[in-house]
Amino acid sequence: MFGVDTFDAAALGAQWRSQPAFPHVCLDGVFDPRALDGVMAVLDDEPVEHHQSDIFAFDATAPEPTTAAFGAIRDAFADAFAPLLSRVTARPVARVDMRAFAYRPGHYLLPHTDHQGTLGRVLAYALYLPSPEPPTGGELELYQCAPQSGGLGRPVHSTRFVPQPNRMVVFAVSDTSLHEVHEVRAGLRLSLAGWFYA
Amino acid sequence: MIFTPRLAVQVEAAIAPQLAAFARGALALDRFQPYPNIDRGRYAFVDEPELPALTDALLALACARTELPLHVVSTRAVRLGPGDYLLSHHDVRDDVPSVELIADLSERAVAHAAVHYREDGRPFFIVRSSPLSVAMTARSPATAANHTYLSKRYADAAVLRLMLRLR
Repeated sequence: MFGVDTFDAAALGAQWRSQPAFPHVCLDGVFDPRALDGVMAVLDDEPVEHHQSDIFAFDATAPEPTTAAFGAIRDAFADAFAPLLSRVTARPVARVDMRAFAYRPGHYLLPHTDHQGTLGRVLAYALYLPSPEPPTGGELELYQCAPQSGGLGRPVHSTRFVPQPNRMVVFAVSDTSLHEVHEVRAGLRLSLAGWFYA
Repeated sequence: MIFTPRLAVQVEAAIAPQLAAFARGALALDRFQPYPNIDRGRYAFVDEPELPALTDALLALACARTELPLHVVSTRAVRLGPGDYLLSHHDVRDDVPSVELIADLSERAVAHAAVHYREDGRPFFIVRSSPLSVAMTARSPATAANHTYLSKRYADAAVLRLMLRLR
């Protein structure tokens, strides 16, 4: 299902360590292309709900896969990428959670870190899927901030990722891993996302 | 107190148009500062703007409504454009009860622009975009408010709010 053997752990590790913002890597070609149609069919069977707060607006599946088939995708993903990412990041990870997200026009996820001390999140990932309506907007942006009182500070550098199909971005979760998903202005942004845990 | 309804009201057409226009003009000459911490908000602000006529009118309105001898503790003009917001964890919470006024000085209503009030995380009042309106809300130490995200799909969106904290 996944083209994990095509990735060079040493090269990814160098990429991980060289980032001006917090550590992250970008991998293209995550799914075996022959498996993508089947994955999309499985996701189509998952119930989706709208979620909104002061920080986000998006549609998403439940925190845990509802169907056995989606659970199998999550487990295969963990089996494929936990060992690789443990080597790349030097942070041992084993377990992963996974939800599917649909960002429609007007949807967004404002700047935040993902860090909540008791949850044990080690790595965050976003794996972009093909869309019947490729989105305008919806970029993931990672920020390096200059510390300031009252918050994480103003951004001094950032890296922006276009949600290209079959691309995955992975980053280290910490109290400074500030990132956002820019508003989708048109089209549909589809992704799988969640966290790796030790 | 259990039988006293909580103050949470938005009064339409509460600001004279000429007063609002004068205030907008005065604020346009002020140096709005961009708020730097994007994990808490994206907006521009002026603290303690010089708007004596408008401030006096708003204070009189609040005193009449609450029948309390209130005084102004702080004022801040907040300006939001497309992509801007203020999150609830950025909101300044008082240790003692207060009354918060929001005067909508925007020239035009903006779709989905609002201020949401919550008490211990539970929503209890929404102040909608309505130029010339004044919202009055009783705040406790457990009250938090956020200014909703303004969509970039509305390129001309411009929200201008004068926030007063009274005690």
